[in-house]
Amino acid sequence: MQEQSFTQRGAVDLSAVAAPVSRGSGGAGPNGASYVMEVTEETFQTEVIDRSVQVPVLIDFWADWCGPCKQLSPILERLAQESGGRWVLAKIDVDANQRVAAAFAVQGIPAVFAVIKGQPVPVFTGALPEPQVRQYIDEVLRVAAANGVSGTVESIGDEAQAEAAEEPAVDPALAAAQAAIDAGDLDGAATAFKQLLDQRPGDPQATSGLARVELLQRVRGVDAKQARQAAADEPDDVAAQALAADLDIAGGHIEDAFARLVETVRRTSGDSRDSARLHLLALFEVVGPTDPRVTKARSALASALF
Amino acid sequence: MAMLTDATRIWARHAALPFPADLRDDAEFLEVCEGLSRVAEACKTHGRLSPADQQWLRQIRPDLHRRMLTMPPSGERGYVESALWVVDAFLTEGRLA
Repeated sequence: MQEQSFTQRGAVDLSAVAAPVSRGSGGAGPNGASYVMEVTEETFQTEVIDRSVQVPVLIDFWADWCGPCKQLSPILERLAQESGGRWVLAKIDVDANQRVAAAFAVQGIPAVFAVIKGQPVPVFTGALPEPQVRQYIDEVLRVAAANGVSGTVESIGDEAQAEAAEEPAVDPALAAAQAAIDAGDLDGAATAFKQLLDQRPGDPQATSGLARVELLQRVRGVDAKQARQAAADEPDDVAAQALAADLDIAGGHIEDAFARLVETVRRTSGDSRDSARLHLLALFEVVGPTDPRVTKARSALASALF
Repeated sequence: MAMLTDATRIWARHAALPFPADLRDDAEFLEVCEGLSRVAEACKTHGRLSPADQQWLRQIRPDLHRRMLTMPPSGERGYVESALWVVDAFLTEGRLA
């Protein structure tokens, strides 16, 4: 009996596993409306200052190289979409728009500011968890309402931007790998990702893609019940724990998988321990190195190792 | 200020920049930043972490972790978290992830 679900594409459903971090605008809201926009020095006046008379505009100062930004941005984008237009999110790349960042005296990123009636308000700096982000946004909305800014907007961003968010450009090499996955050809997909990595060593999408395909290969045809029983019977058997962790990941139980392998690292030594460590690192690639669960598990792994 | 630039240059893309103002006079943290730069550079040259550097990372990790836990959410804490993330990446992978 196999417990992992299969999609119409014939692959294990990894929907519970975070997708690679995207710089996109977070997609559209329930009615196709979008409340997230990329802003530049050229569009700042119109998109931020002018709009802030109607609704508060939150600015997410970010950069492509900033790991914590990749944790915070998806949270802000999701909350903006949830807001239904009570506030909008302006994303500003500090590298491409240094004068705007300087004007706000940005000291570190990610940094979030609000603009209310043209007035900038520092909100917070750093990647905070969602509950805290919500609290800050609630406070911004309260301050905005107190200053007579309590409207809503129907949608922002032009149609081309919305279409781009829905249909991001696909790298032909990655498309070939995806086509192989769609056809149920995991070996072909792995080969395509490996070829891509030969051409572009360290490519994050290919690295992540290969890790996912290899996970699917490992759990393909596995009797999950039997595998879990083996792991329960032999807690020091790294191969058994690794397979159980694979099944956990494939089933969306990310933290369980990580905890299992961190514990295996603690219990074992020498080559066995290193094997468990390497397997856990491979699963980090599946989930995505910037995922908060990976950061937490990496810290636990470091503690277990030393 | 030149020291700050050098200290953050190597591993900057793994951390929040620019360097938080409140940490600029913190000699202990600056030393950690300098050390991380040195380790990153050595790692880049040799392809992996040396035993001596691994030992140093193991020594600084508990203090860095304690420091982070005592700080309220802020840009400064974010920077310390980034430094700790870099330390953990070195210790778990033997290189910068």
